[in-house]
Amino acid sequence: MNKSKVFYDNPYLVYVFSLLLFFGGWFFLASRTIPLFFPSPFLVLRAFQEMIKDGSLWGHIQISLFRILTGWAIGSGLGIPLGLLMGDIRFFKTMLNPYIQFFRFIPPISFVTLSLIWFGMGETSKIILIIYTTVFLVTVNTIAGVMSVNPIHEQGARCLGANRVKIFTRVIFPSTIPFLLTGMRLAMGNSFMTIVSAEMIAAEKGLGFLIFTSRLFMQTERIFVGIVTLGILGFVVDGLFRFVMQKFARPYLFFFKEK
Amino acid sequence: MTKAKIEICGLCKTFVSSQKKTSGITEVLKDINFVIQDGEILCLLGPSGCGKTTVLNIIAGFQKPTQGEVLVNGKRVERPGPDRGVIFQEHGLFPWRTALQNILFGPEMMGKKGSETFSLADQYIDLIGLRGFQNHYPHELSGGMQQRVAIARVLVNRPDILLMDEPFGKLDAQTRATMQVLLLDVWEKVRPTILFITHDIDEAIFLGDRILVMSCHPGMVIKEIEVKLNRPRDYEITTSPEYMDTKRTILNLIKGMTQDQSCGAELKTNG
Repeated sequence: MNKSKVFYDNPYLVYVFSLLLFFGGWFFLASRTIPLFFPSPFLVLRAFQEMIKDGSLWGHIQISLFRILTGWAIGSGLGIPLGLLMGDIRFFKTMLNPYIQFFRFIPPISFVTLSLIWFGMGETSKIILIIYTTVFLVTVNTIAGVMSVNPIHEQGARCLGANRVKIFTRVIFPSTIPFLLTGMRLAMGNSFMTIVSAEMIAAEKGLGFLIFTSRLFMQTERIFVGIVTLGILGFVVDGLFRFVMQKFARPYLFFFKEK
Repeated sequence: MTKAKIEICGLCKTFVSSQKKTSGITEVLKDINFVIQDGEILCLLGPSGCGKTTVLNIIAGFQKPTQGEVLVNGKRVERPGPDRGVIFQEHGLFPWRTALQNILFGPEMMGKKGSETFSLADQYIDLIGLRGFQNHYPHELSGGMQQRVAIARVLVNRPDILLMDEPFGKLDAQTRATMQVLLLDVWEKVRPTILFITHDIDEAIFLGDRILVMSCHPGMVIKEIEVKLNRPRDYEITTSPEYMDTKRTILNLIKGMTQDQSCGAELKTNG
């Protein structure tokens, strides 16, 4: 009779409680004002239904996901080798670090117009912005990974007959994996933030576009649809990424247990 | 019929510190000379900070001496190599590889794969007592087991020389005793030349053919002691008169040292 003495010992009950509180609060706030200012959950749900029925929501999701995933993959593909190179070879770090440290602080939204001028109205300009937001995070994390390689692993490998190249591929790279995966996860979050600014101007579709055009038509509940969809999508994609990480990179994550 | 395996000739090591307040140059090792014979176990005994690890690092090829040189099989040491297996105080196993994959790292580096390598690895798994634990990851193993994998990982390369830097220093007393017996057992079977670094007087006497006692600031070899205990050894000998004599000699030596300087007191005794 010792099982769940109190309700807060059961995480599922706490989830339900938390959701009840959240939607209760939402209803309450919405009831005190007009839908244009703050639509109730019902209105948002109805907007969801409409947009699912006419297929427009799925279209927005598809194009946004395509841009995020493409930009994120290319950005990681650039950031990982760049980080490995900069972490391992001092010359590259000294050469490139000032730029990394400079651009790291400039938000992608400040490049929206430039990206349009340089790369046109099509997909490229949007994907470039996602690449931009991904690449620095992945690079910086990968460098940190290379920096924190246990010197005993390197020494051990050397006296087991490993040459410079083998040390890089068999010791340094595997030690870096947990770091670059963390960088990629953070970058995925950033990509979701950047997609809204990327689709702000000169887009015909996408969740960012949805949020911005709904503003023009005063469809506040559709703005909510865009926001909620982004949140859910981010949650799902991050969960998938964590699942894939655990499935295929598990041994490399033991690094954290050793520390 | 013994011949010199490792010759250490006039080894000096100084570090230049970047802090300007203290004196710029620290003398870590001063004129170290000794020879390790083929197939013997030589223990380097000294308090922490006396530079014994630096001696090992120079022999391993991780560090360069300021003066002097190290000859292995008559050849000057320039860089680390699989002929000198190093076992550290921290096991240094790759956490992303299982015990077996760790053991296979050395052969892999030399381009050896296939069934021959596997059966060799298998042999050492039995020799070191790892049977049943091959597919465990390092973090799933106890400290003693981790150190066993580290030893097997080095032995599979068939080195002539084992350089051991306080390999059992972090283990509990019971496991340490087991590992010491295991090491002697392996040594009887494989007969490598071993340089064993420790600050534990009992460990040095139990394992070594000879013991070099070091002092610190700067690190120097102050005494060579021959351990006249028959092999194979077991824990019975730790109560024998010869053992006691050797221990008394070392303790007196340290007593003399502590009167001169402060560091000798850090040597470890078990009663």
